[in-house]
Amino acid sequence: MNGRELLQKLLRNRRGQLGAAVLAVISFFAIFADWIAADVPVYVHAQGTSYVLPAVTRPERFRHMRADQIATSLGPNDFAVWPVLRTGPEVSADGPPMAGASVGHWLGTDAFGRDVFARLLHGTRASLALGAIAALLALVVGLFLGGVAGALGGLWDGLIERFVEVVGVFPAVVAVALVRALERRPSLLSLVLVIAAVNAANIARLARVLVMRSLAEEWAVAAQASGASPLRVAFRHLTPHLAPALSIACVLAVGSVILTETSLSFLDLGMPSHIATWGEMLGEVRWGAGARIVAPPIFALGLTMGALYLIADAIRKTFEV
Amino acid sequence: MLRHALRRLLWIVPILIGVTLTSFALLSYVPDPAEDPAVTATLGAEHALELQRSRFLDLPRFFNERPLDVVARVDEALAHLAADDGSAEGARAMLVRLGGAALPYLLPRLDGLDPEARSRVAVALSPVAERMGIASEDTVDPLRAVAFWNRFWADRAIDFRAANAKRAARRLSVHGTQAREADLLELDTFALEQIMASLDELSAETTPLASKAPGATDDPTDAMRRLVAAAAHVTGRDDGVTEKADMPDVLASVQMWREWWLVHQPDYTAYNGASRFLAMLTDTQYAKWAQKVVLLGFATSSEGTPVLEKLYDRAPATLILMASSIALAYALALALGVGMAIREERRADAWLLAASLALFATPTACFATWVGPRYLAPHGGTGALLGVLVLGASMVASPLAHARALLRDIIRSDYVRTAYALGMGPSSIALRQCLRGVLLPLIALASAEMPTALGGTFVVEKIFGIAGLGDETVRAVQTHDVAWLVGLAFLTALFVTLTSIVTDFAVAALDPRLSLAALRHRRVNA
Repeated sequence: MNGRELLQKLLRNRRGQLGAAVLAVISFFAIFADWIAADVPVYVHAQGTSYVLPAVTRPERFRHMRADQIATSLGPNDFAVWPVLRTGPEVSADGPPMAGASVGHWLGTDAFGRDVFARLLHGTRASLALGAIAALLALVVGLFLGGVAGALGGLWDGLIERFVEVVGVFPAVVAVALVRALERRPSLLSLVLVIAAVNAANIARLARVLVMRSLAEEWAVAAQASGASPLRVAFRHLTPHLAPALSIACVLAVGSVILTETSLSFLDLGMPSHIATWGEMLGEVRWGAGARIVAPPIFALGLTMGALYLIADAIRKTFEV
Repeated sequence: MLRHALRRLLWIVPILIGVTLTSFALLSYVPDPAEDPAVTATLGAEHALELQRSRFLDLPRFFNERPLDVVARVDEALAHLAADDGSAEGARAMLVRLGGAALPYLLPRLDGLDPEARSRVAVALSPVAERMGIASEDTVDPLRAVAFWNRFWADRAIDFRAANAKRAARRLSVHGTQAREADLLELDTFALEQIMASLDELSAETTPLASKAPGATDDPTDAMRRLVAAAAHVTGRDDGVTEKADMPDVLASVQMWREWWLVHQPDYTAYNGASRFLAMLTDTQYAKWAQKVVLLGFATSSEGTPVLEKLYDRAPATLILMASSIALAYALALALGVGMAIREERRADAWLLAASLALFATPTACFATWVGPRYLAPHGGTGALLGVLVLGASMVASPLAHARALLRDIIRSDYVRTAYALGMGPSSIALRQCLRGVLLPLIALASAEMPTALGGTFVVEKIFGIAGLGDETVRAVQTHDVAWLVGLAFLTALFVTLTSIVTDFAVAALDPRLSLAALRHRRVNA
């Protein structure tokens, strides 16, 4: 089968289509979070100047203003296009914290009086980005290391394997906590890097064994004997064996970023970043957040994992003979 | 196979060194609380310096191209005193602190200084003379102090030798009369190295396993008490033990002195030739920390109990919790996966998968806080069991997903079809054909699960009140307790590597074709 046929097979897979559709919906909310719930208008025309998505492009003018302040500051000729809900993820509402669902706050507010729905939407963006970056980074690094170790063998194998073990045996929570302590300003970069490193070690280990095992098979020896270049062997003969296991590993890596962040914030390890993420929302359990606050991100995470799993399953099916 | 196992075992050493190096490097760049301006301001400059020093912050991380010994410190102090600049006051304090250990490098050089500097230095030494019990009005008089110290050196230079100090320390520990004490005190800090050596010897004797060395005192407690008192006197540290202190107290105090010595040893010893080269490597943050580990059993954490002891106390709970959860999750995944695959129940399979993903997506923290108060309070003591269930539930997804992928291939393989054709029932196919193919990869996967599972384990410990490594680790991260964190990393690394070796063996035992050693061999031949 050539690449084109494989792609067609992948795209025709029903489960894969379902997974992609769900992921597309989730991504839609992630991308258009600022159109749905934000404390800054989508479009403002004030005093002869136009601002498109000031929350994203961050003009100084509106940065420290709340939705009602912006509304009152507009002159008679100015106008603004508002998102569906006028609450941002970081703004504390006037009402009491932990308030139940209401018209203004569809999912109520959290321990700091912040709108849960807005946080969920904006958290989707951050969490998906974090998970995707970590998984991709882990995949690239892990596949490279594991592939080189498995294919070259000998000294390289020994060196890479030791390196991978040193990285892989380090407890992830402690590593993130330490790297977080290193940073002057808390950010999510450390989280992504450490999770990527830990997962890269796992993927490298997996890839190494798979490559070694595949290369020891008769067909691989036969392919080499018949003069196939190493690259050809890698693409035509190794990919079908690597893709199923590695795609599942990547799906789990996406989830582990959010879950590790939850553990960290629950244990009070390291300075939390102030960006709304699912992990940060879930970590509010430590202040006694109930199902109203915790269930939405769990549901969103589960949905994402399910969609990704369906796609991984489709990838596996594609390479099935 | 044996060679392979041996090689793996030997590889543990570099891996563990690598782990300590990385964790140490990481930690050393984390801002230390002792360097926080707010902390130093409340402590006062002198205390803050001492605190930073006790955390080895004055040393470079991995290589010290110019290790400072007592000679270098004397040089520095002399330069400042001779110039009588702004640091002269500090230099005086430094000379007093160095005390007797500095005399062999200081007194012979007095004549080389110009007269005024000479008398400044000599007067600066008067507190040392007081400590040694030889003070008179000569020592404080600028005109006569130089002559006093010259005369002192002419008389006593012969006493300032390692052999003599050793004899003095030994005599004090054996006899303990006042005259012996005076002998030792006259050497001042010069005797510290030997005092420490004697303390090491004595505390080694107190361990139950040690056989009594010939000529050892019957009760080392008294001897140790005397030596500690002497050390406290010459250093001006108030860490001497009281007359009534019993064995454990004295031992604790000795431990403290050994730690202090690790920090301050360069103040009282001179490097020459080989020892200078060695010091380039040993007078570094990493080496000092490693020495602490070797000498003092992972050193003491900031609370004062040895880390090794605490790890030994706490680790079993965490390891058992984690290992049984992993075992539970994998056994469950294996059973469910094989069962579903063999019966080919599409719908149940999909539901099972969805359930496992839902459990995976529910963070342990949320799940445990939900389950914890509900079922924990009425049945006290079920915490650990419940913890295992909660933790295991969150880990089912990954092995189940992998098992499904593997089983899909196995079920459609020729040998399973052949087995069916031969009339084998589903259960025997499940046990004989499927289990074997899935077991090996899953075992390999399980052995790598631990480092990531640690976070969830800590959470469960916190919620179910299990006294494990979790709360200690959280405290260590917050207070920047290097000893504990590196100890933890070391423990995890050791455990994971050992598990992976055992796994290798298990894999080889179950299916010799698939062992890595065999694979490597096969490739070379191919």
